[in-house]
Amino acid sequence: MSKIQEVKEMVAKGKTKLVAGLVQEALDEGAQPKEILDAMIESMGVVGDKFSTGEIFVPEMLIAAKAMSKGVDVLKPLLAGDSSSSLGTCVIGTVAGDLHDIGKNLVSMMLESAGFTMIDLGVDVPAEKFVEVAKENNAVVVAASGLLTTTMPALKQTSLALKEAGFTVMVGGAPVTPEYAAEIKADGYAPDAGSAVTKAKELIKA
Amino acid sequence: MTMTPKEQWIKFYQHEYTSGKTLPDLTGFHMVSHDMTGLCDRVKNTLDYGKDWFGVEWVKDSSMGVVIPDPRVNFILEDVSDWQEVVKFPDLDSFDFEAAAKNSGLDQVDRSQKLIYFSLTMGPFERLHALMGFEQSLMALLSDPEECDAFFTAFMDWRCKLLDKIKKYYNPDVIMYHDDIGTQNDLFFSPETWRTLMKPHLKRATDKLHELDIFMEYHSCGKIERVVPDLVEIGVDAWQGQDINDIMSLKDITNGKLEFHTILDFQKILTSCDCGLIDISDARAFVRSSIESNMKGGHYMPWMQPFGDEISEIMTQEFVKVSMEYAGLPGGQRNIGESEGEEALLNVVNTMASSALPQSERDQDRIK
Repeated sequence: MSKIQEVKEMVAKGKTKLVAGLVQEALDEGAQPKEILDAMIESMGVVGDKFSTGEIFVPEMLIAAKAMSKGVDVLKPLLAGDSSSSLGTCVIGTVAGDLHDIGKNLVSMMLESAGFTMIDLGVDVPAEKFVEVAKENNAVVVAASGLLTTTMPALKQTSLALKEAGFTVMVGGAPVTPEYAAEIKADGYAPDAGSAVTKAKELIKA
Repeated sequence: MTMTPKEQWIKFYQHEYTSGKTLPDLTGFHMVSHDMTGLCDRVKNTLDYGKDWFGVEWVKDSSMGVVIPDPRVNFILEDVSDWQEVVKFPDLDSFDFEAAAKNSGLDQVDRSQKLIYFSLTMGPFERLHALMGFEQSLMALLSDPEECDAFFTAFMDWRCKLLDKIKKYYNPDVIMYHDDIGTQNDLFFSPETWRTLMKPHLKRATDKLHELDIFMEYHSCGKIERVVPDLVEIGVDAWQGQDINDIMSLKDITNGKLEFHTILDFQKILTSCDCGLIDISDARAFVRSSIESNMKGGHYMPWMQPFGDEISEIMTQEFVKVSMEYAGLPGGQRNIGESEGEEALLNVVNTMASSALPQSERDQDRIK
């Protein structure tokens, strides 16, 4: 089995202590950083799909993302300045009045694992802040999360403000439905972190 | 002979309330909500900030009007392997349970007519992630299962002492034992992980409650269908879950050995109302049809978790109205407003509402 194949397998299995060493070994054997990164992204794609179909659960996905981040740490100095290694910047946050961050964090991790450069604004983020940071960083997509029915108005306000400013918006959260996403003019909706990757990739290609 | 409202509830928890044509009478149900217990297993929802028994910092989430572990501060436990050095179990002998029980107002309740339903939050998994954060605790279940199990065991040793104290000072009929394990789509973790690391501790809690002659109502939100049959296996009496699960199929599977105290799917309705897809009359109709569908075959009682907005309040009112129409009085239905127990009924609803509303809004938002 090639080293890159091993890296892929160990990422999928969430072997956080092994991945960094294997990435270094792959580099030592002459593999290109971008090639290794793409292999890890592919591996996380499989992880996301398995999560979406209920084959694996949140802990397995988290631990795989953590393992990948260990590998990325090794590659980062070698990838600096290589814009082809990023799918673009995604700004993410939980909307104003809402302190819930678990789902948002999962989505952020998975998008990062898929190759997006993530800017995580945290929780309780006003619509204006989303717009301001998206503009500053030329975001290719903005992801807004709201867990509660009581913060749906804030999600709507955020989506409309971002659309007004010309950004591509995706939304999610327990009470959000495709119908609601359409109602608030969002470009996309994802029911879980695995699907969020597919949707974000779809949106930036559109 | 006509059963008292309390007797109807006892029958419910004994799996003997089976007609499918009536529901237990809400006037026989007295909830001691978390805020009323006086325990410090979490911080009261009336506060903006506070620390619980374990030193975890809680903060008001204004969107819900309830407190949550503050996501902006460092967690107490970084590595689950350090739990023995880091986690300080509260000294239950130094806590004034007698005063807390007195303040809960239970001495004013007619126990011959009312079932005492005691809300106990922060089960083993909830305690673990309050201490170390959600993502870290989930990963710890995979990376350090032995340490997690050791922590859960120690926690349950402490917890069983707490249950003894609750029995002695509050003497409830039912404990609603809270330990959320699900998202809107599935379990947080695999069924195997739950069966290995959590099921044995839930069984221990169930056995302990039965030893104390208290019914076990397990609470978990989320879609947890995969492990509902396991609840029967370990002897749980009732499950307080959400209507996002297929209740009728689960009733078939559990075959009368588990009661379904089910929270109506208010989330779906609120979102649909926000979209303008349905209106208030549709929301009312949804409540009625959900209840009438799920009560077929018995072993079901609806529940509502209001979040303080207009639609959820209307849904709560409808839940009470329909529940009371079907209150188990042989030979007829019962209408809200005509019942001599109306005041007690509203107390039930207001207890639920008060656990979700900010203090400043409580007096003005009481359901009239």
